[in-house]
Amino acid sequence: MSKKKYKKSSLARRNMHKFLANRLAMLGLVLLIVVIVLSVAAPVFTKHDPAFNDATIRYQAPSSEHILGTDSIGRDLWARLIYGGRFSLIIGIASAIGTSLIGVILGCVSGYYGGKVDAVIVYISEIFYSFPQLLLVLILVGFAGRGWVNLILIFSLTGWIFGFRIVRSKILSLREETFVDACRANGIGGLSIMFRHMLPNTLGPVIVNLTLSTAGFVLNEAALSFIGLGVEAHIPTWGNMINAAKSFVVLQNYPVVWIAPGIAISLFVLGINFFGDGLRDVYDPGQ
Amino acid sequence: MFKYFGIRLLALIPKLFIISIIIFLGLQLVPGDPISRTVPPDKLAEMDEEKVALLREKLGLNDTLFERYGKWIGDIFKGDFGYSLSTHGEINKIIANRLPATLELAAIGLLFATIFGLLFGFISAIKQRTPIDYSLTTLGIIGISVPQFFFGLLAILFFGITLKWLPVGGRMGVGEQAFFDRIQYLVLPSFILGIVYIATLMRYTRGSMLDVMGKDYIKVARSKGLSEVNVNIKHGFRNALIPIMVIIIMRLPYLVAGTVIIETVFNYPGMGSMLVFAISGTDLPIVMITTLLIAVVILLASFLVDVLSALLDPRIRLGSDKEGA
Repeated sequence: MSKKKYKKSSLARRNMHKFLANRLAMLGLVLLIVVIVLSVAAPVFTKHDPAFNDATIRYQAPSSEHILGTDSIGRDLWARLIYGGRFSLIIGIASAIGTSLIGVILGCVSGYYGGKVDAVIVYISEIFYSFPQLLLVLILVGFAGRGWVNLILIFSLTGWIFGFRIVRSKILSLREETFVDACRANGIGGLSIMFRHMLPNTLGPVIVNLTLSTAGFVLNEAALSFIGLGVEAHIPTWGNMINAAKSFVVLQNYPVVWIAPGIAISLFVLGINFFGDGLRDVYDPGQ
Repeated sequence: MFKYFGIRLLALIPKLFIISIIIFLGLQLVPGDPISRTVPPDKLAEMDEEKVALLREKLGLNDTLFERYGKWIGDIFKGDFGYSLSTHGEINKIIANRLPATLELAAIGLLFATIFGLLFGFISAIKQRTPIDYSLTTLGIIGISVPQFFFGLLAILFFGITLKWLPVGGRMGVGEQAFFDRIQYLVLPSFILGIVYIATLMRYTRGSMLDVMGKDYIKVARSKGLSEVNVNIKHGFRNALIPIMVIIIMRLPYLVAGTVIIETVFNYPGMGSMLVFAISGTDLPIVMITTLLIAVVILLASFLVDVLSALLDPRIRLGSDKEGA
């Protein structure tokens, strides 16, 4: 019995235990799962079409038919909330993957080759770094126009610095390791060494960064859609739903319309932050 | 040391130059005839082709890209920022109206955030691993998770509409010009603006404070029999403050970015709401000038960070010779 236990105590298993013992991280995981399941399986949880409007039932109070009531043109709020989660999540996750990809590739190239290539990329990243991402995005939206595809592209182009910095510093230190010399001695090409042998060693922090940046993008999308510069107005996202609160009548008399999506965003981002912090504790105990 | 600062200051110039070129080229990429961006459409419709061609020549639109950039940047140096497309007003005047409003908002937000961020971080550190510490840390995570504008809307609903304690938006009422009349309009937006900043500062202050409290000189201070308050504040907090000063300035651009959202939520007539308005109306001259101004502010902040870090940590300015600027 005791032998069996010893055998199973691999690093992955210990990490798993550490994570499970972190109550906030578990709470975050539960929040995330609830939000994701509700959005992905939205048709299961509501029979209403989020786009269907019935002008005779504007601003209805919550009832058994409409769980959260209806909005300004008589659309079911609960349906919009969970369908809206889909777009908010897609934008958040796709942008996080996009930034990570750019960051990882540039980080690998920069760290591995060093020299002038490194200097140029670092110089560019410093300019990006000194600008708050929200401002860069805002200005680019001004040039490229609003829309969810544009948003994903712009988020990816402006947010890569964090992943880049992590990967670059990691690659810089890995470059001195013996296994890299061994690879070179065996005649393995630079690209293969970078992406097949060195990159896997940097993935822990990259995944943590990917998780946490999803939260940032969901927040940015919401903020941009709220001020009317994000996703097209007809697509239900949480930010677009809160946009209704710009009308004073809605803000004052129909708080459910904007408080519900606000709570949805808050819970989701809170979930990611708790979960991500837990992940970081496991992957990167030094921090 | 002055040589180091001088080099750092000079290094800002190529950065600013590159940014101005990017902004200028960005404008060229925007589809549409540039003349329609410089002349109001109703006036353009009245003119015949000959007049348009003449105007084009007069405005220098037939010049090369290089010449046009020179003219644009030259005008800016002369203090001529051009005209807004949507209101047709001089951008100089618009900015002169709106910049003080934003500075006021950001300054008070910074004041709020610094006081509360340092205070909470300090309490959290000296009460480490107590319920107070845990609840403050959790509150900090909530502070960065809930969207700022959502906080803003909730505050308007609660303090403005339900309790009627504070105005729901704007900058001043009729005949309320004095600062003390305006302050009630600033309370909500500046506090909401500061929330994210408070959470960040709190985390850094806690970390820095814990770092310092583990040092030997704290043990020495304690063993001399100094009171706990004396040790915590005079020996601990003062030293913990040094890295925090750098963080306060380093995060300043994020406070500026926050004003864009907060000013929109509270209908506050500052640079941020102007930028949003200009972007939605594709009022490009305003967007370009604002972007350039923001870039200047941010680069100056980064210069200040360098200066402060060098003043506080001799290793940085001595190491700089090897790295170059």
